Amino acid sequence: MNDDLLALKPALEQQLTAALTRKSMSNRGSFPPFRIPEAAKSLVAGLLDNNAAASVEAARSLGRTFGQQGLGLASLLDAQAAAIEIVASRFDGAAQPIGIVSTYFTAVIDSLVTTEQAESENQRVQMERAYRSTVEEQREQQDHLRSTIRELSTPIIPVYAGILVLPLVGSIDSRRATEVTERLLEAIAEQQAEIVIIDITGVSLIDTSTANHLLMTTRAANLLGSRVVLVGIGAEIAQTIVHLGVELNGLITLADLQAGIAYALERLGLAIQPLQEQRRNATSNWR
Amino acid sequence: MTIDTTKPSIGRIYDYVLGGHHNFEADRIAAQKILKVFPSYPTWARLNRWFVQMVAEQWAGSGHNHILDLGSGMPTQGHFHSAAPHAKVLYTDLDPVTVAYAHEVIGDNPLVSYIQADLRDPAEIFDAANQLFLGERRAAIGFIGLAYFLDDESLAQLARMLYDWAAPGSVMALSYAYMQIDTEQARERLEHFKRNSAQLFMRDEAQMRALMAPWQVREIKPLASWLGVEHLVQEADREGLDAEMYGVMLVHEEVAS
Repeated sequence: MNDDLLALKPALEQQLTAALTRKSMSNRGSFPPFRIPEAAKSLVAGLLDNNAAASVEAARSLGRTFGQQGLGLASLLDAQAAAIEIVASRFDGAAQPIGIVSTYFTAVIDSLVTTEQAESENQRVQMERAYRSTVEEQREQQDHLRSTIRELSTPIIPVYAGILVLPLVGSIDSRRATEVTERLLEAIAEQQAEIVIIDITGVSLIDTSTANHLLMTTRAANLLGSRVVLVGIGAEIAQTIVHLGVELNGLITLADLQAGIAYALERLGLAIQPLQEQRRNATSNWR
Repeated sequence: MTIDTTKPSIGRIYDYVLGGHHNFEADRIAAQKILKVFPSYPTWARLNRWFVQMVAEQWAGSGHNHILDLGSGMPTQGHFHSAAPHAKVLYTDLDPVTVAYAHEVIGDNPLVSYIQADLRDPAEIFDAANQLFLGERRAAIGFIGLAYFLDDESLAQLARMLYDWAAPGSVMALSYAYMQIDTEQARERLEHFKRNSAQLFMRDEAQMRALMAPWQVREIKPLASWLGVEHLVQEADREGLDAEMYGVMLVHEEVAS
């Protein structure tokens, strides 16, 4: 029987190539038309294999390959119809040869559909994973950027033993205010600071919650044994504070950073003096 | 670039119409809208995708070992690195999810690199190419399925920058779309596409030659002719319009010494 089929090889290859080509557009983008003659040859080779068991295995394996490559189901169904037509006309519609062809194609189609489904599921899972990893990566980048900005925007400068200066620049929302508080308290504990000068010369706007945050920071600093001095309150912010009715009790406020430093040194029993005066004092001591 | 899966991406819409599953709900909805007024889109998308594979086979056969592919999309079956497994291949795409996906599919292959890059700023693409190709600039450049998304100025500038970067003997493959756009129907079609996906720029051969200069055109013909499937593009695919999708092979001429 199969020997009889063998004689049909050239006709089958030609007709299957034609059928698959007609339905090229049903194939996925990954299956170009120039792969069709090769695909038709493999299909015919599997069909004409003398060993029935091997033929079924070849059919399954072909179906898997086609499914992965993106051959469309419509292409394969057309190829099956073409093959049945050739065989039916050669054997006058005898059931057995047609049965061989249809069993073979059923195995290919079955395997293709299963592979297609697995492939689509696989692609979906991979896509979800790619999406999640991209989101994750972007979040990490943003976190990194945010922490860099945070460090840049909250420099805590130890200007003298026991004295810290915290210059604030830009707008301060509650989130940043919380960060400032955290970093400042850490620095106070670490540096054993007695006095902290918060310079808000560079702060453009202040609202109730920011002002309250500053007050809370002050209280927390007090608990750690530090005194907070607020300097650089501009006219606008002064107005806002008054307007908002925020009580700045317990906060020492001074005009600018210079005044703040002078005050802090004084609290520590120190002072900034012209060098000449120092020398004069030293000389008078020698006398 | 941030990811927003509620907004369609042109690359993922393209994947959807090609029968892929590398897309999200928003992409599928946008694709369906486009298909309603532009039912032949899958035909043209397939021709483009098949052209990529044909070019990949050709370049692999002619021993091009340094391939720079722009706007690569999903590196699925038949892409450059599978057709030419010994070549160094640099892929690029604007969509970060595509890039992340590609990294997963390609895995740890020292010959292949996939970077996220914007064609409007190709400097980092050239940096990556110089690094992967170890300074070799005689390259084969894939520029397929992109030209019609770029306006004249961007396209001309990119062509010039690629020419300046590439060494003589380099080749480039590109595709472009032509459509007679002086009819109401044609304008409507383009407008609809623009609303649901991206603006398209249609050009004829003379315009393309001028914009791609100083690259020399070696051959221009419809994609269907390159692929030998002219009979597959039906009159219906042109939807009554004077339209065609072309493939072009270009060369960076050797300077006579």
